[in-house]
Amino acid sequence: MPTKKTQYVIIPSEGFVASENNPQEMQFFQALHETSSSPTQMRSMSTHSGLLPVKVIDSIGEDKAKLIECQPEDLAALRASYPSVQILPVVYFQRAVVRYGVAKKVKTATARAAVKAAAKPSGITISIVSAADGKPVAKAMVVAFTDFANKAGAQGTTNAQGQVALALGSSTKKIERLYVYPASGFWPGLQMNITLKADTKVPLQPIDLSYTDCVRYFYGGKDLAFGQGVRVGVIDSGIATNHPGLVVDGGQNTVPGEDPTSFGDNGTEGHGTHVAGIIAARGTTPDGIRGVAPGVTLRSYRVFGQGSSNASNYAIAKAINAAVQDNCDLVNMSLGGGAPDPVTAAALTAAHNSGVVVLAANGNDSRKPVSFPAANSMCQAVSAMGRIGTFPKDTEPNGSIASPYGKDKNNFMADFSNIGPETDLTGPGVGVMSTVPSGYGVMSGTSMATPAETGAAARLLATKPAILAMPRDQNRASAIIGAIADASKLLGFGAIYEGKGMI
Amino acid sequence: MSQYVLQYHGDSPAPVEHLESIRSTPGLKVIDESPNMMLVGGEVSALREKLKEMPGWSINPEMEYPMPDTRQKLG
Repeated sequence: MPTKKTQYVIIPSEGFVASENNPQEMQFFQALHETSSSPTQMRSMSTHSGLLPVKVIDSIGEDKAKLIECQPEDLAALRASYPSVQILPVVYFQRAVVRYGVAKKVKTATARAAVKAAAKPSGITISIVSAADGKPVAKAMVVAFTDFANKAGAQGTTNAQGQVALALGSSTKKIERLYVYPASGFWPGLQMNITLKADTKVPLQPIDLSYTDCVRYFYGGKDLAFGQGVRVGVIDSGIATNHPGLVVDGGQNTVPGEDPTSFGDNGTEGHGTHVAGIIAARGTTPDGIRGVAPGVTLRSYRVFGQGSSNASNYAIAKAINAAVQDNCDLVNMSLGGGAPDPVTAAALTAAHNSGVVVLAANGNDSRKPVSFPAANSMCQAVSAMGRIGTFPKDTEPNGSIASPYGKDKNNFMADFSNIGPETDLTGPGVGVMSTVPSGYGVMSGTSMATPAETGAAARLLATKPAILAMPRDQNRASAIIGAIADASKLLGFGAIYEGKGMI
Repeated sequence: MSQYVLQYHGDSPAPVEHLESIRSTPGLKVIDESPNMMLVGGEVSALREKLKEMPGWSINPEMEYPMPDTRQKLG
């Protein structure tokens, strides 16, 4: 059933006046302007999905901003057909009046008690072991929540004997949720409503690389040629160039002051290596794993400094420019957050005008608005979904199951995924097996959903030589985005969750 | 020290005289350069004045993005 019509502001890709150098954008603005004199009249806009009804409520001028009304379900199709145009939700500002409220006493008291308990030195030492052979699992991060809603509890990292001391304030403790994040080789664990005491052993499931996780469920296939002829840039924490399952064509480290040729893993948690493997891992089970498009030419642009978990907008913009210069066709950006940034936005516009399409992660803030840069109209914004039956029991992905569910009730929208009208696509991102510098690991996030869709877009593009051969300009980027939109299928979550669906 | 990102938005490479003028700004430290972009630090008020005479340039603060993470953490 169609949802209620919503108002949006339409502005050109840059500034407030449509450019004559962009005939498609100018034509779009002029067409909308024609109907602005009669705001009750609906206008049918031509899109890749057919004619869509749009009502123009107001227009500042023929080539200037418009206020339109359309159904949220139609937004992704409109954006896919006119990718250089910015379509923004109408924002209403409130008066800046500070109103003081009374905090819930129970909540405050609970949190206070938990903090007090955590401050006590007494606690419980538990062991993390392999479910296969009982051997200890070292370097696993353990987070025990006594009060999950208030994020209260204790945490620590296992030693070489797989033991971790948790400052829980007593010798036995009821735990609402116990999360265990291993470095590699095991599925992250989740135990719910358990009682911890001395010598409790928590088993972790070893990774079986022949297991069908959500990426393999939707994009399984053995053909090493998938994606051949397509160049994909990964802007991230670097890619482990010595991993046996990955072939990195080249790249650049764009962090100021660091060696530009050092585009391998930056020594953190292997985020970029995991992202790269989802796109292009070339291993064979049971010893390796295969990505969605193993035939792509994979390039690494490292924007996180050595050992750092922060990337500057300068390094990111420089990386986008470098990927464009290196003739990448697609760029994966599994990063974001914070306020819109004009430096990155300018680089994204330049990439679009050079025929390159950037896919970016919606963000993992649990249903908050789509993060920047994914929210930028030049990006294909990707949310994360999951599928029941694609992860073992007692593993962390079980904690991400949430509504809405798709037409197929085994499909769900990940609880952590950000959503909003800027969403263009959804991808599998709950419990994803992939490469990490020390072997193979499982991660969840819109960071994982995005490379799944980047890989799928590469697979698709490899079958569209005419598009790949187009001159590298904004028409090429529009053609790629149009092909992605045409190939995407709705899963039944609703437009703000999935945009045009999954490729 | 606050750092700023300079970007040139013209269709062609940034004019050499612009680049030389920026580099010679008193109190300004050029930290990194790439095609049509610079990362600078130090005193930028004089640079802002110069940029008014150099069309096509923008100056914005450097900012940072955190690495994404879905791991649960204590509050």
